[in-house]
Amino acid sequence: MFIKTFTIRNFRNFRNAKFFLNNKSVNSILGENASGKTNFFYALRLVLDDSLPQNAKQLSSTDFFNGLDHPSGHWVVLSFVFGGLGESDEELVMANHAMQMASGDAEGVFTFAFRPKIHIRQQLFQRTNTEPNLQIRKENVKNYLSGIQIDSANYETVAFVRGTVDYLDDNEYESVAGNFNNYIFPNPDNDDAALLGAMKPPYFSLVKEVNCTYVKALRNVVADMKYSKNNPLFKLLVQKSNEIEGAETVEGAVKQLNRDISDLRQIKELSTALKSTLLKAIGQTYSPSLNITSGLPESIVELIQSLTLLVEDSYGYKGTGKIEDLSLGGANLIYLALKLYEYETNREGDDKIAHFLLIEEPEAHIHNHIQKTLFSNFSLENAQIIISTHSTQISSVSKISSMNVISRKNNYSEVYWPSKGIDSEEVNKIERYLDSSRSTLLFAKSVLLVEGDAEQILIPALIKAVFGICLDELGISLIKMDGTVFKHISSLFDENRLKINCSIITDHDQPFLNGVTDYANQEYMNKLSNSAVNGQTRYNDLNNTYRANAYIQPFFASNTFETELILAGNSDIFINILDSIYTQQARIDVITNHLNGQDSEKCYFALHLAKKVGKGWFAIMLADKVHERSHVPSYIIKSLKHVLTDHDKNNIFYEIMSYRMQKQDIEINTIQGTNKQEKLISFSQLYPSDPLTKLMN
Amino acid sequence: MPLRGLTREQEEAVLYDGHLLLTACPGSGKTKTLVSKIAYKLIDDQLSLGRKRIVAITYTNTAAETIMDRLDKLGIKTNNLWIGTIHSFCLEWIIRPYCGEHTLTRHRFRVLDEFESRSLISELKNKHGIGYFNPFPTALNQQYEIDATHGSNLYSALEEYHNTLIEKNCIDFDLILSISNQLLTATPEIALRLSRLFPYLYVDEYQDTNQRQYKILEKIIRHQNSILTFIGDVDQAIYTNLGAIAKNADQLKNDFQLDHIEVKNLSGCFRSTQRIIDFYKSFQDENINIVSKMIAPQEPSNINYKKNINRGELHQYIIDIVNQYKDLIDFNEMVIVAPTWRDVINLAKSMRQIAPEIPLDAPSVSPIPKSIDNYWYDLIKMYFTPISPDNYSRRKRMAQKILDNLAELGFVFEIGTVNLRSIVKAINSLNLNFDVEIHVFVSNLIDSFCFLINLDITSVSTASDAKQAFIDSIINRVREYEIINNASSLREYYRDRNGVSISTYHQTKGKEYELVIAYGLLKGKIPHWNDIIEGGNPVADYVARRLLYVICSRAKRHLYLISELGHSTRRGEPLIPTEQLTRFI
Repeated sequence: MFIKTFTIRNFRNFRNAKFFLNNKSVNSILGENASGKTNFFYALRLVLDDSLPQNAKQLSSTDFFNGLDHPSGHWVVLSFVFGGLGESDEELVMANHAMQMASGDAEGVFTFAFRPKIHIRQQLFQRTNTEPNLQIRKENVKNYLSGIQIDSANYETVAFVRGTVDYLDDNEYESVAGNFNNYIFPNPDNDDAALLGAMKPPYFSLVKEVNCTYVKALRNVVADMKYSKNNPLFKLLVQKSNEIEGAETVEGAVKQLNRDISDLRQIKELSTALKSTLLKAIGQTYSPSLNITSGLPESIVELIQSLTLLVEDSYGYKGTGKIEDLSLGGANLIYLALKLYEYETNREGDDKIAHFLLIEEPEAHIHNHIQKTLFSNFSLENAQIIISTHSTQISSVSKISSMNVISRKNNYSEVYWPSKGIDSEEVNKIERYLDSSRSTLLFAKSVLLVEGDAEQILIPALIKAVFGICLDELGISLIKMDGTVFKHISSLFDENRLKINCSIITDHDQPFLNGVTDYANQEYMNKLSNSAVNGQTRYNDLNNTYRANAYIQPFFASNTFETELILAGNSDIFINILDSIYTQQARIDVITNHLNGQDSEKCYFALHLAKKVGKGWFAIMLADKVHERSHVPSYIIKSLKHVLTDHDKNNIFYEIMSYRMQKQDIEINTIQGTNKQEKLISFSQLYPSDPLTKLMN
Repeated sequence: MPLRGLTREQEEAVLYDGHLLLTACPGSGKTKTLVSKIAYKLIDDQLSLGRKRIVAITYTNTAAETIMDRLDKLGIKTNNLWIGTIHSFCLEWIIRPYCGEHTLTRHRFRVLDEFESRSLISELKNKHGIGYFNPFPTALNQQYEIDATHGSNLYSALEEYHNTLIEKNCIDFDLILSISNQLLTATPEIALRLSRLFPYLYVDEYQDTNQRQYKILEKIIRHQNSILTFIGDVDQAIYTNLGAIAKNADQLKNDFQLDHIEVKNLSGCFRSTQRIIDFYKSFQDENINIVSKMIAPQEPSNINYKKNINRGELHQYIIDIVNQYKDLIDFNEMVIVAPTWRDVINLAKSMRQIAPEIPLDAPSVSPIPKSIDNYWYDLIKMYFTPISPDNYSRRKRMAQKILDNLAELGFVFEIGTVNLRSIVKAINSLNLNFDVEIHVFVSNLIDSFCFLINLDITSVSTASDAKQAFIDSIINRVREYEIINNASSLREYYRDRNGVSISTYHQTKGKEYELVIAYGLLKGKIPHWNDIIEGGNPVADYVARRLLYVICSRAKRHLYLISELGHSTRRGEPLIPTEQLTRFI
């Protein structure tokens, strides 16, 4: 049995979130900090992990979704759809009977709800069902609920099986829990088992049927291994100590050893000396008796439990063998290994119907290559593994069909499923293209896709210099990929999949020259026209493909990036690097003239330089020279604007404004306005041609 | 261990591993055999039951209790056993888990109390002009429709009955079976899953199973995942007028689609002398041999039939018999069997007046109704079960039942606040005044208990409804059976039997006594007029012989049968002695 979907409603930072899981590969949960990964695990454990204390299920008001004004009256729902039921597995008979849907497919539903007790739900119903006026209903409910705390007197934990409510859907949820917008509540005496499900039968306890092993994120391995309660080795040793054969021989040997040590002449002498000193000091009457003896544990159980791990970072390396002296990575690996072994032994030994292994951030302290191979040999037989990660290494080897991406919005988190609705062939292609650097897009708030080294190097530099913002800081990933790959990768950005904005920055390749000139010959012209044809095709193609997609937008340089750059008014930086390219001043002067010449001249020579130096290296040199008065090509500004769509624009623009004013020595109080928004408006009126103004419009 | 002390016949029955039809003659140790058979399976290490269950269906809850008690005493772990009546079975395994699949159970429902049911029926009979003695078939027919002709008074009355049930969100016992059948038919997966859960199914007193109940079991068994054992005695089929069918091996084989069903007999009777056995054998349908295996050798066994006694002298005559034997037999080993409860009450009253020195087992009519699904019944029962080592397991089970009942009513307790221990503690610490009316006492008991475990009964309407129904039921029974309305007499009902028992024919099934005195053996009572009129002679004959068989087989040694004079029909014709009896004497 395994989890197919897990739906969370109203729990901590999740208003309504659904996770898709499977048992064919390791499931990964990706998300930025504070997006809710640990909350996700905690929610799972509330229902599946019996190592949580009994009262963990009695939630408190802080466990309710933080976007609710007042949690009182609301429900927290954690709902599972289990797959792998229905097979005639001996172990599954009870689960089948208890949870399997009537329709007979191999799925079962189990729902945990933390809800107001029946007398409260009755009150909510009675105070509203005959009152036609919304305001009065609202008053009634609010007054009543203000006196209701979230505690054991007012709230209960219940479990249902076989329900059909889609807790993700607001209408369906409200039909069972009540609507806090128009204050209409269902009659609890008419609780409909066809919707909610039947109460969980008393003879079925889900937590007793499954085994859940959890490895937490913050692992202080050394400390944990010191204290037997947390030490996974200790637990394993305790298990083993019950199975030892030949214990008597070992115990006998230890007893003998203890005697031998105690009988050592020096020890006995010391003992005697101590005794006589004591006698001399205190006298016979009050002297306690003493003896120095060896106290090595004489019972096999104690002996086994006193065993410690001898570890080395690598084969052939001789260290102290103590875990404290191991490298952080080594210690973490050992810890993980012990936990995995614990999990394995549990899995083989018992008759549980499902085994879950939950690991938070397995990559902590672990080198890239190891991260990649961490689970490749792990057997998924009768098991389900769910990990959370920040690591692009791990995500690059993970299946995107097993990924859930948690995206943190303002006060809630959303879950995205990168592969939903894409056929498996396409999914395979995408997985191949998502290497470690590209898989950062799974973690990003929004994405800029670029084609060349030049864009990759220069765009961040330009944005940093001109706007003072760092793309990474804003959670915007800039990823380079081949044009042909765009199409596959960009299918990830969709209403059904990753709901994040993506700007594709590419070239239209339209010619900047009409005819042969003294610097451009026919051959060159031919090349330009050919590129133009391809460029136009690409242009049409991209525009058509993404016309209907709100998340992706292509932005085109009319010719190429370099030409756009120089035409935007950045001749100065091109000129500035000439002395790193040419040694002869005469040549430098000639090129300088060209770079200050007509538009087509500028373009030609900008490209000429790039080709001479090598586009990447050229970009690095240019990046060095950009400054706050440099000009950002307008298509780049538009692409930036697009990826800022869901961001906190006001604050970002204000930061940019402060930066720009500071760089241009403008006094902040010359800008009118009582709040940020007004100030931004006056700024844009005062400086209509400032790049920030262009960005804002 | 479970095989110890079994006869050859019993051991064979216990060890047989396949579908079995076991006929157990009266006094043959049927319960012992059944307990051993269950125990044998439960302790079998080879059989890894895991989460599966052995299911045993009994006719009454008391029978289930008895078997559980015996298993506890043997020290057998009963986690893998489910035992109860067919109605409990249906509720727990079919209806409650799949309640969302049926309109009548989708919303919070409860099972109608026996008293509520009877009072509703009499109210409706009145309203629709149906005679008091006329049948009122509340059970739906094969097509799940009302069992009456469209347009008739009966039809409207029945329609109103079912509508009232729907309004009250209640289902009655017959509906438990109908709904179960409907669920099993509509969703065949349910029966399949159950068949996988239950590798062994035992049906006790199978001769009292009715067609609906057979159908439910058939649907599960047909998947061929379970081994079936039917135990009973077709000669003791005394509920055929309620629809029970005593099927034979071939019929069972056919209906349940079994490859083979082995027929075995327990023919050794440990209870009665051969003389008694030979006497009641004459009422058998099949001529099965029964051999007395009484431990004490044949001592004089008396069988006496009196028919020329007037009903006015009846009570004295009975008292004389009792006195005759009082030095030879313990009072506990005597029973007087009568046709109806009214007779039982009257006799008890009379004997208390005429011969107060004879200890009587309180008339078995308790003011507390034994409605199985009244959620508060188990509370009362547990209160009156004394704390003793013998009762430890039983009280524990009752506490669990109370906890389950509370959960059914919609009370959900936070983990750790209310558990078995707190239930037991609460009940043990109740301090109640007995010098009040019975229903007041019961009401106080429930209220105090709820207070102790912090339960607000008014917050859940099903709970307060159930309580009210319970109290009303008590008030009615006290009035109807003229029970002394003081709670101090309640202890009597729960005390261990002490004295001469007085019982109805039906209530005596399964019991045994050294001395049995049975009166009222008249045509019209045995067989009942209803059977004669509706069934005709063959049916009446069959029914009469079954009853006589049961009554007479209660006796270990001495049997006194009386067909008194002086009773007459409503039209004034005198009742004659039961013909099935006079034929043999």
